Amino acid sequence: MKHDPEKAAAAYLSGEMRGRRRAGFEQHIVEWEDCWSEVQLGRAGRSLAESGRELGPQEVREQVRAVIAATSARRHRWRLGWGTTILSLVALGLASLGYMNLQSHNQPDVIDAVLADYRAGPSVAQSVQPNLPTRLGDLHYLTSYAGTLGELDVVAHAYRDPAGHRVVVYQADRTFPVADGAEHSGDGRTWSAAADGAVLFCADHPVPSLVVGDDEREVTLAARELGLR
Amino acid sequence: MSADPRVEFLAATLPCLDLVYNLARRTMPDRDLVDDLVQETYVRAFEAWCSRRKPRRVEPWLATICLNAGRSYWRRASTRREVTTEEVDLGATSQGEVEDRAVAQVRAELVHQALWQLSDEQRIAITLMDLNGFSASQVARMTRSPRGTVLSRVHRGRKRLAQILSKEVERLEA
Repeated sequence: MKHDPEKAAAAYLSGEMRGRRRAGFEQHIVEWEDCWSEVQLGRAGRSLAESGRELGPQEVREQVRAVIAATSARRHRWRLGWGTTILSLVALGLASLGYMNLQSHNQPDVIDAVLADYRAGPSVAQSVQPNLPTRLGDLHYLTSYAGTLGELDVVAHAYRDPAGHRVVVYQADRTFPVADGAEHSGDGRTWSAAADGAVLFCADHPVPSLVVGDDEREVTLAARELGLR
Repeated sequence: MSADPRVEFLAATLPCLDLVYNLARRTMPDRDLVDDLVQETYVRAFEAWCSRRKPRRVEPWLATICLNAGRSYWRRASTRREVTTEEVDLGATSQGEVEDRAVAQVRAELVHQALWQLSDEQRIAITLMDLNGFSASQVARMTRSPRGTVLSRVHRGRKRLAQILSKEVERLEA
């Protein structure tokens, strides 16, 4: 039988040799010791190789989810950047003609910066190790990053629920300014507000924190899970 | 309203994570680099996905992206790769002192170390065919090599693996 023993043994062991060719090769290896041992050695090697198969670790799976979320956010931020530029030009034009008053809101700089950061998605600022739980109710942890928002140094922790609602917990070493239109709790220690389509909840204990999300239920849930008061 | 591309992408590709991970493990010698390569593969794949270059079959598409990303890394890296593997105490397994799961881990690590003693071409061919189940023709397309060359690489790699782990083979046959 004319053949290349290596290729024939590899094709045979990989199940790529079929029909009469396979039957012929099987007949051949029974008769030829060299080819028989070639197949046996290849079979042993294949069995060993298969036993080295591993499962992808769960943390790698979560990293992939997070990195895809971040990739998407970068794209979203780019589009938002152009949109913001166009809107700014339109607003400037209208203002120069005296048709409108540009004082559309009076949010403190920090709150404005937080809302802009929330809209932009996970920042490209310095990535940090998370110090909060990976689950808050049905919210799953995505990523953490540090940066400065309106002259306030913050660490942000991003979460997402199965429905796609995002919640970001901003932590700082000093109190966040109160948002325009905020409503204070009965004891005056926390406040909540709605601004720019987002819901905000702020508390000073156990650490000054501002929870921002697009779903009030998830914001409340996150604040409760974190024991903010 | 169109579906979120991230959800669609992850639903289609995350079931293939084991495949990508096994390929990355045989492409990168260091655990951190393995994680980086898996992420890089998924980012590249997602960008292609968003550019309306969705594949007909996800598995070979992801494997090809992973191989290309690995090649790019090694082109950038100036240093020769060095294998870093965990310490493995084979003696402990023969004494029956560890549980089945630990034995499997030890065995997998031994095979992993032995695979790194093969040539890059042999290791990748074995990983694609024996660990991930691709056909020789698919591997030939992914690695841009003739099918016959792939079969030769796989067979020589299998034989070498069997020789390196001859004691393990004896235990298999016992």
